Amino acid sequence: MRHFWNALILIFSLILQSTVMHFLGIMGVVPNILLAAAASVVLCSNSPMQALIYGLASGVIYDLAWGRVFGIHALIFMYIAVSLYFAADYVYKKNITVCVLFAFLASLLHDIIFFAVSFLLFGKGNFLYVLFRIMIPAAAYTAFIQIFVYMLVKKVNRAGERL
Amino acid sequence: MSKFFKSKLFIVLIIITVVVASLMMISTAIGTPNFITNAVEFVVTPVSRLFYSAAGGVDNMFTSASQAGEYRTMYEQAQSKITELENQVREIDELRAENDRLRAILGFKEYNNQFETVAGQITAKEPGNMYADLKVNRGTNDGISKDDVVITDKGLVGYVSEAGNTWCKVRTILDPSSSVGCIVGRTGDRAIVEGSTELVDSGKCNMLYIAKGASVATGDSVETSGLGSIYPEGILIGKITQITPDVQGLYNQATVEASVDFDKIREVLIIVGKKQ
Repeated sequence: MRHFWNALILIFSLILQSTVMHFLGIMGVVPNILLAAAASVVLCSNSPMQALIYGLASGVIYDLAWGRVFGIHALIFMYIAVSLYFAADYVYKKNITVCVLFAFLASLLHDIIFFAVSFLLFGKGNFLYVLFRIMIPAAAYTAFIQIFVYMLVKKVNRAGERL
Repeated sequence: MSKFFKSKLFIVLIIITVVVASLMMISTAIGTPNFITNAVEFVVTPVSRLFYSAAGGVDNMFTSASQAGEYRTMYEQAQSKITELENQVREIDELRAENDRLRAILGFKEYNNQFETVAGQITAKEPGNMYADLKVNRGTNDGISKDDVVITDKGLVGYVSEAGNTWCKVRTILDPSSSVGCIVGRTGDRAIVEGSTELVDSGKCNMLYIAKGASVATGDSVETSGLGSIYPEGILIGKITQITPDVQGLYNQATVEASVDFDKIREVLIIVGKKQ
């Protein structure tokens, strides 16, 4: 049953991400609620395989709705999910700060990989400007949103929580 | 670590990576199968539309409340402006009639700027901060096809990059992959307006390849030049806000603020053909 709710949370996050979140942007920076939800679900999953499937599923729904080339987000989300799962293994504290830090890193990693792909495709972009003006503020905003998303996901996954 | 490389998880990761990478190559060559995206959009579009309209409404409400004083001043200014503009309209009507008469005399082929358009509502914006695609609730069922140009009453929005049955994806001029041939209204200088990762969140684009001798200035209006296969000429893109001279290079650069407010955009017009 919790898998059903997790799937629903991911789909709902994607819809919120492409509609409501744009109106909540601060100085043009929008948080990545889908990534926050995916990270929360991964941190609450019981096995690395579950984390992999959740990461892959989040990326696939993103690609189906918005992907310019099907599969880019599926792979990025999957690898971030598996990395997060193993990173969480090294953390023993049941602490929301850890989750927030993970969301920050996941968002930063996602944006950096995406910028690299974009740079390879179009050959333009000022990395340092984008890093300080967009990526870091977006990661911080995502980390803040993560507090609420994680609390919701944790409630849904109470039986199988890991952190 | 060596345990991980021998684990089932590692094998699954490799298999999925290979499968997805193959799908990526296929989708680059032939595009994502329309029936899958159509099925997803069939479910997602109505929900997205609802959320987008609701969020837009709430946003408008807060904006209106916080700007009441400003609106009063704007209203008073607008009243005096209306009187001034009414006089100008009368003058323009006279000039237009004279222009038509002179064109007829000179034998110019009449350029009909009236396009056949389909109105659509924005249902979603691309997630993330570095891209700027939009989704509109009109598709091939409404006569929309790939590469149709999308505008608003303020100016150019972009073009249809993908069209499903009941939805279409619009690649905006702010997107880093977008490139539009343009002309500066005042001077007639040609250049190219390109989206940029750094400017996408501020509603601005780069204007490249401005000839060194061009006398463009900040505040100049930039329109589509009609060069290229997508955009017709004469659609307003925006205004030049900054010029960056390149001392060593062959061309100057400028920043163009789009005339369309992409943060507040709700409805668009999709050009499906020219009126007969």
